[in-house]
Amino acid sequence: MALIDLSKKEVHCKVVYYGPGRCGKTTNLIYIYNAMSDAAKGKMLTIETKGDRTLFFDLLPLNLGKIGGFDIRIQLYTVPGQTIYASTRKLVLKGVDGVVFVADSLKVRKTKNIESLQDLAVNLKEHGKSLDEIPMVIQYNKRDLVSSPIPTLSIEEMKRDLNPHNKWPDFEASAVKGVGVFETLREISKLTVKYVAKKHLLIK
Amino acid sequence: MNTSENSMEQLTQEMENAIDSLFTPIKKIEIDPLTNEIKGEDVSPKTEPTPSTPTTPGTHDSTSTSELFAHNTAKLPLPLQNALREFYQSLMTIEWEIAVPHIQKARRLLDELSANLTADQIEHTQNVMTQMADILAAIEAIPLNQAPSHSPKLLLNLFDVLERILTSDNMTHEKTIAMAAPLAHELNEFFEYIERIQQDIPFQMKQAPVTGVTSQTLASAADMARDLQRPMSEQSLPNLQLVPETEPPVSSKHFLPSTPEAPPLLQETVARHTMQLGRWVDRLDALEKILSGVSGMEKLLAFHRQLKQDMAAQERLLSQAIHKPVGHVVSGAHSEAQEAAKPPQAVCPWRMLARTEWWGKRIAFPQEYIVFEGKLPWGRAKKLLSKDSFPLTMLKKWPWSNIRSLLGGSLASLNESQLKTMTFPILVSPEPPPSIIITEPSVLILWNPELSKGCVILADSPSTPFKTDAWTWKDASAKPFFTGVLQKNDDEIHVLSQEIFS
Repeated sequence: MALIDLSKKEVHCKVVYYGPGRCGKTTNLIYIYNAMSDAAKGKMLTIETKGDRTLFFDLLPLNLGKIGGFDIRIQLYTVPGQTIYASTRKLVLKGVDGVVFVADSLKVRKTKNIESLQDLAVNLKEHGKSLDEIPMVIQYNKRDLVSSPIPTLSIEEMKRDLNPHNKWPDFEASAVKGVGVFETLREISKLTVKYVAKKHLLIK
Repeated sequence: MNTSENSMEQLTQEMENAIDSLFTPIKKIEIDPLTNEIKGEDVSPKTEPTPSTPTTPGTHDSTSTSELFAHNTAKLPLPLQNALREFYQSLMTIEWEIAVPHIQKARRLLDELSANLTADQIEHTQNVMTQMADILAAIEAIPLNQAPSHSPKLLLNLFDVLERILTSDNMTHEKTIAMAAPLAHELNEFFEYIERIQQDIPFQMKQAPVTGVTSQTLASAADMARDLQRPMSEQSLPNLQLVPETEPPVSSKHFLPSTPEAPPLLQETVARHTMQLGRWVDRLDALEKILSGVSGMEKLLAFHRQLKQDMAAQERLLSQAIHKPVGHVVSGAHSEAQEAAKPPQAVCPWRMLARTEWWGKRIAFPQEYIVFEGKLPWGRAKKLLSKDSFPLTMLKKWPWSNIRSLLGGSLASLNESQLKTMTFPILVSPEPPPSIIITEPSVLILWNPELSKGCVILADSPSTPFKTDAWTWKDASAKPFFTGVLQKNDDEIHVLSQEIFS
């Protein structure tokens, strides 16, 4: 649930970048952090890492400024994608208001993508939420590898696996180059703030 | 559509507009998939890449952490970069959760970081590093639920200063002070809070049995006291010897000192006091460093030095009261048996020393020897270069000035009439003079109270205290004037022997 501090008139929305290990969740945040104006972003934090893998999570706070008398803040989180960090993933999903599901375009990651989406559904359920309720955007990452010799999945195949009914907005992306990163961010931010405003703010 | 729905519509519209205008890239960058570096930071306002054309193939290593922080550490040596990164991560972990293992890890990484610094870097960062070490030690030593919530933030702020010092060119003593100055108030508040907490702790311990967390805390305090004890008990002479260790190894009695007469609560309380005194001494070191470079502050410097020495002496007394020293110092003649049993000395006998440059050479000596440090008026300083002795009356600015008030240590306990008659030899290096002579040297008067002898060093720079933990010790007693050499990487500091007082 969004954190709403009426005394300070602050609304904090929590958006989690979810997906299998090494799919590019943190790269999305790194790109946003480095390419975005300082006016809207806070300091990016990474909580404990081991080697180049995220063990806990990354957090990037963004600020929309004062709207309707409220200070609207969006906090972007990532989770560790690796299977063994199931409990951390569950923990980070607590109080989530929006999800970006980052899927990996590598052919070898096809099953991992599906498993991760299922894992997300299960973990949300444990927090009393469902994929039907929470705003979500799907990002098909690493599209720059399509032209390389590395076997990749087609968009159609990925849609079939992850978004067969076009339930969620989706974007092609290459996080290392920034392609599709901000489209994804803007879409999930709009969906999330709308969701939070409708659910939690009573407009007089 | 009613008013409420209209308002909601308006609100979401405003939010969407804000998102569209703010959540756009202001520059086009690329993340190197191999090195995780940010490349091609061309400023191109409001240009958004379109998700269409496939680009150059490459491998993705998406969960990079090295570029999360805009730290310009690329010019530092790789081991130092790594040490900084690891230490930073440990601080972030503390910010996430203040827990004993995290604090201990951060303390260990801070030590490792200092081991990667050069002598110059240590000199510039010592103040900040000491403050960080103190904060970590302090939050480890108190019950975790009482740790100030802003302590992680304070550590991160200090880290920023540390990093700026390390990455800045032409760093000077004044610049480092200026960088750390904005945090002074915050630091004071932190330590005042910690002091208040620590005063309450013995009482709390009486109230409740020792729990897991508390026992860890106390162990840490005892450890710290033991650590602090080492240097303070060795402040006299370079040719003093360590009495061989007769106690069981530290690990077997790691927790508490084994003095059967003293009840555990008393031991812990005293351990806390020694720890606190040690911290004050360290803080006074930092202040001393500032004052030693400022002309006209000689009197204040002398006052602080005296205060520090008194505290160090108190700390030593308390430590000795509860600990059997790991290796204590005895002065003067000692038996041949003791000499033979002397353990090989790989570490410096002093934890803290003062260092300066003298005739172009880095030298160090126990801080307690310094009874005066300052600059003389230009004309007088120049005259001094051609002399071989220094009458204390030269310290007088005016005929009616008081010498005693400028001095510290036991020399300040002599009366004015005695001081007026005293003259000390000016030390001349046994090595050839340097090509550049400093015309305005720092005058350091060293005094050995046990020998009742003093000498004067015309140093190239003001003295600065430093910790010797990260240095290796090599005996050099065969060399005239020196008892040992501290070495780290390519840096060397020669430690003066008692011979300077002969």
